[in-house]
Amino acid sequence: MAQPLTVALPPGLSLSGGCTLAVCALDPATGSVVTDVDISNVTIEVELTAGSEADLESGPFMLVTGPRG
Amino acid sequence: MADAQISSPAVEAGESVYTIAPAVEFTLKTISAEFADNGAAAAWLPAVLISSDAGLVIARAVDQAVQVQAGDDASVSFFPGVKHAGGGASALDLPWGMRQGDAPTTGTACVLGTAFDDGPAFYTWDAFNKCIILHEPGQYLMMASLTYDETAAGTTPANGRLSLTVDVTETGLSTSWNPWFPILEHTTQVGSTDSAGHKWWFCQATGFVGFDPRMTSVRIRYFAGFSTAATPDAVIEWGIVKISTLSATFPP
Repeated sequence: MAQPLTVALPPGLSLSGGCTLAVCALDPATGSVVTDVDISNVTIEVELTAGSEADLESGPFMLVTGPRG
Repeated sequence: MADAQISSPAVEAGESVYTIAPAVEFTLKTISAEFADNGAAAAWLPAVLISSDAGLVIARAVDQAVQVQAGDDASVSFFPGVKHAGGGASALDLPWGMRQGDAPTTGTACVLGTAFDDGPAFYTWDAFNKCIILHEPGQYLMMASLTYDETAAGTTPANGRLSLTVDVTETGLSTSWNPWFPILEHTTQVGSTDSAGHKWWFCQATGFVGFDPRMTSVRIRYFAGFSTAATPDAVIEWGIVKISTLSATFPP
């Protein structure tokens, strides 16, 4: 069973086109990516400040549509 | 603008990367991800690496205290305002030592020949000088007790004196000196009578010892005796001194 954990993100981080977010597992000693850990079901919540929602889709990441508010 | 969500159900080995499209700008709010160990050799840290459009890492969202053991899985939430997890609660495990001696000669330092210690000794017993020698800086609580009784009923002895004196041996400072500092003294008057009509006395006292890291050692001498030398009217049954580490650093 997966243990629930929380990690801090930088607050108020504004990112623009070309920037990347890499969700990964790191080696505690070297900081290198541990390839023997699978990452899945990544969901990213953002506050859009430029562009359209449709523009958010990139690679395997799809816009989550549905009832809002 | 309203919040938006993007999600990827894909299973990626090592890292799942989202690249922001050229026309987009947003404020990052939260990230959620599932981590499944697939044969990692050692513990690992769930993380998000944030890189600029030049490929340079501008931030790493990771906490050394949020570590997943090899073989375990994790469901991880990343969001602002999470407090550092810290090193994890660790049980307080400061060493203590206790020594006991019986029938010492009155007027001389007590020979605390029996040791009751918790784990590795953080002190040395100097049998010749009858001293406890501390080797580790820190702050310590000293507790000492003394029990004695009169040799014959009605021969009330002179006041007993229980004292712990501290000899500080220092190096590295401009002055080298090693006086004996009496850190506590106590005279006892409390007594009770045994079946033979002999009065018994018990006394105890406590004191603190600070071991500055600039010192090389601290010596503690337990002196149990009577204010009148060679008092034959009492027998010291046993003395006990216990040393508890309050802090492994000094100042604490």
